[in-house]
Amino acid sequence: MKKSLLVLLLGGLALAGCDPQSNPTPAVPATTGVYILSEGQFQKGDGAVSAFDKSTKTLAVDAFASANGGAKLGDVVQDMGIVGQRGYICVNASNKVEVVSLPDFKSVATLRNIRQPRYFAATSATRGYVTSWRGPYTGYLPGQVMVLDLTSNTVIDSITVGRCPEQLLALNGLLYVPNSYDNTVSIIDATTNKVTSTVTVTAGPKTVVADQAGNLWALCSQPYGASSTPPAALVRFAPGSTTAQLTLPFASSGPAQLRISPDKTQLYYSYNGAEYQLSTTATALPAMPFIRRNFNGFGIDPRDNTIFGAISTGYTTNGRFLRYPAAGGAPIDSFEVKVGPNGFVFN
Amino acid sequence: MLIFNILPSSGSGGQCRRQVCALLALIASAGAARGQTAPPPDTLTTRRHRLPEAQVRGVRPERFAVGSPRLEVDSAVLAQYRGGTAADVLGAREGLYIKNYGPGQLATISLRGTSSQHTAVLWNGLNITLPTLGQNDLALLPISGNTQLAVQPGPAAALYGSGAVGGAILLRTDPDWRPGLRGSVQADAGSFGLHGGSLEARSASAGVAVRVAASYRHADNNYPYLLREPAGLVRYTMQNAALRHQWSFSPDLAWRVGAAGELTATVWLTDTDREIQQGTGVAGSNARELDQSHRLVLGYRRATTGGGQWSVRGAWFEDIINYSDQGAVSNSRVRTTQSQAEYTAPLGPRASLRLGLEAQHFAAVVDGYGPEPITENRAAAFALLRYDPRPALRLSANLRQAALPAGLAPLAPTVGAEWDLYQAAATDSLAATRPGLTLKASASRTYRAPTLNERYWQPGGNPDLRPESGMGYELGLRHRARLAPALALETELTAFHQLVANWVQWLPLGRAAPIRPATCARCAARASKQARRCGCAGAATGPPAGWLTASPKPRKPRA
Repeated sequence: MKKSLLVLLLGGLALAGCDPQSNPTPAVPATTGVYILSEGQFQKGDGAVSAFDKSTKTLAVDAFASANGGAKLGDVVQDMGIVGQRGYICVNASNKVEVVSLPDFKSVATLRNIRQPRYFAATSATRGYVTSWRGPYTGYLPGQVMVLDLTSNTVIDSITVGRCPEQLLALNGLLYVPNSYDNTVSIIDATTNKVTSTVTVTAGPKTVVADQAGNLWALCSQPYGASSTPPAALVRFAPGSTTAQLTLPFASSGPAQLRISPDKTQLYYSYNGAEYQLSTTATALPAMPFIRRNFNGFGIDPRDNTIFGAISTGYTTNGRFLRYPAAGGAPIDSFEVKVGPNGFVFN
Repeated sequence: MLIFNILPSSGSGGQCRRQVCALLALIASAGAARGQTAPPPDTLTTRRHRLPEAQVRGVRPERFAVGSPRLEVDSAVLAQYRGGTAADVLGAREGLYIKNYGPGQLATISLRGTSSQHTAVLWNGLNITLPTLGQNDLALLPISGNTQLAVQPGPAAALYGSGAVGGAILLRTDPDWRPGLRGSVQADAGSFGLHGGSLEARSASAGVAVRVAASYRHADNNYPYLLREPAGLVRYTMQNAALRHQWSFSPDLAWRVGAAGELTATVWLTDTDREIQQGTGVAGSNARELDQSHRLVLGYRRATTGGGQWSVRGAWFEDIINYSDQGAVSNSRVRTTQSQAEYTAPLGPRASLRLGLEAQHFAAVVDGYGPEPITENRAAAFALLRYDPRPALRLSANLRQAALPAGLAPLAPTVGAEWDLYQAAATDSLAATRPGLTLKASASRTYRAPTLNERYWQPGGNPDLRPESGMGYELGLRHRARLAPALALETELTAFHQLVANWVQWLPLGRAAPIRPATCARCAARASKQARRCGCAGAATGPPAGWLTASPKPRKPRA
């Protein structure tokens, strides 16, 4: 009896030794850390943020679970913003914004009941904004921008904008909110939290970026769930103006993920299964792709201009991310992450 | 989940002597503990019997499926699942891979590593696969509407038509010509608000056989679950997962017309209202779906003087799926008209040949297709040959050619052979399970017609899609041993190789662009499977009463 007990104990010890502590730490240094967002499998609640350390090339595939006792982050991780020592993660289908401390990725607070949160932006160390969709698929109602107090981690106000507000931009005390189910960009004054003007662009603006000259660019494509396919376009408008300054139409629908280089002189977008690059002074769209890969997410590290591209291999299989030199060309290396990688966050 | 079944049943013989057998069975859904049915008193020698009269027996299509495995759910098992659905039976009793999203929720089958669109579902010989989705939700097929259920794994489009790529599920209601009145009543109750029941009554006279069956089920499915959150385990209760109701009503009538003819009318109405369950950790919606199917088949069969048989059938189906979520509504209704005509002729004493034609017409009003109704026609011709050169050697060769709106489907031939390497002489009533060793082989080409969604859904539908085509080869060995007078062991080992070409996939054409179905150049579902089936035969008077099945999960197809 005693012998069998001993065997049992030893066996238990041996199994305990298998505890996967070999996982890299999710605490990546601010100077070399990159966060990769994976939407996860829809309805499985397995969205994840991977923490990658460029200096050691170590990857913690689910940083939130590693740092929080195996807790799941939630369903469809859409966006993450960093303000100081805090990360704000929009978990779209779980209707919440998860606040984590950085770099240890421990949970600090959970902001629940933010319906369909999409993207985060901050105007100061204490004020954040999250776009939120309203209404069911194809029956969308005007969306809202939730105003967050980043000190108390509470929602203190909400601003009604157009339908399906997407990737907003905070710039010079203003918020530019593309309404992706309409053809407008709402401009909010962050001091009063009121919509001060609305810019008319092409149908389906999804992202707004600002260039070196201070102009704004909106990438417009087919609204999500829309049955018709209106022409897509890259639209430039000047701050203070409510009309487009330049409209560069695409031959077909589908451009996405507008990004701008850290020096704000080059625009990037994905279109027809490839990544394109365009100077902010160009007056026509490029014919030749920059990288012939279909990226589901694209980012440029502001610290060294390294290019990160996310490859989604389907809605049920793990994806990858690839690193490229700043000039493009052949990839440097690639790493496996969770299902549906869609974006990168740099410290 | 615990389910309690109360099963009174009654029957009366030709002499109107009543015999009532009440049985209370406590059945755990896992099937671990099962009440034993008391053997009925032996009335064979103590009471007068009126035997059913000779009838026009139909030649089943499976007669031409030589060399293919077949998983038959016998009537004793079906009786226990009268309140359940095909998903419950096939998952629990046949060990098949059913992808199930929860009690009463979507349940689809995957045979031999293929998708849920690669299993054809036939009811009384007619394809009842949803024309819009090209698949069936097995949770919408209540067992009470049928008297027989079988699964034939492996490609078999020559026999069963479009979609029989990974296999086919065969549902059937056969008229019961045993004279007299018999029936059953069952009440079910279980945890998490499950309740339901079923009723069945059958009656037959010399010229008419009638069966009426109905069932009802409701389940709240408000079960608790634990979710690990940063603060620890948090207990939640499942929301919006109720099976609000599921009705099935199926009256059948068979009428002998003259000495050689039989007219049948079969109806199956199902109505299911359910809430759509969310994943754990997913913000709740209030999605709800109403599924209604109305099916009617009229058939006429006539034996000719030369030993041949004519059979014609006409069917009308209506399938309704109404989905709503927070005010967003997606409705669909498809009406299918089908007709089949076939002639089966004996070719000497050892062979038979069946020639047939069938046509299908679909009329769909689907929100996703736009405001205009969509119609589509399909037709097919087939020839099935069975030849037994010796009692121990059985051969079949089948051929089907279908015409689809976008052109001809791939020609689908099948050849099969079974050879009894050893077979004990039939000595008793268990002739079907007499010991023996049989070598089986078959080769088959199969196809799947693009579904209405794949052709017409806006945005993305592609009317020019080619049908999928597949090739399958298999080799099997079936062994039957009699371990004791009342115990038989059946083992079957099948190795197969299967390829599917032009596999239709919905792919995004660039991010945010419409997802379009496209056929990939060559997708392979390749698997080598060793399936072992062990059967425990029941009493010497009946067919096997329980099955233990072990089969590895098929591998996912390579995209």
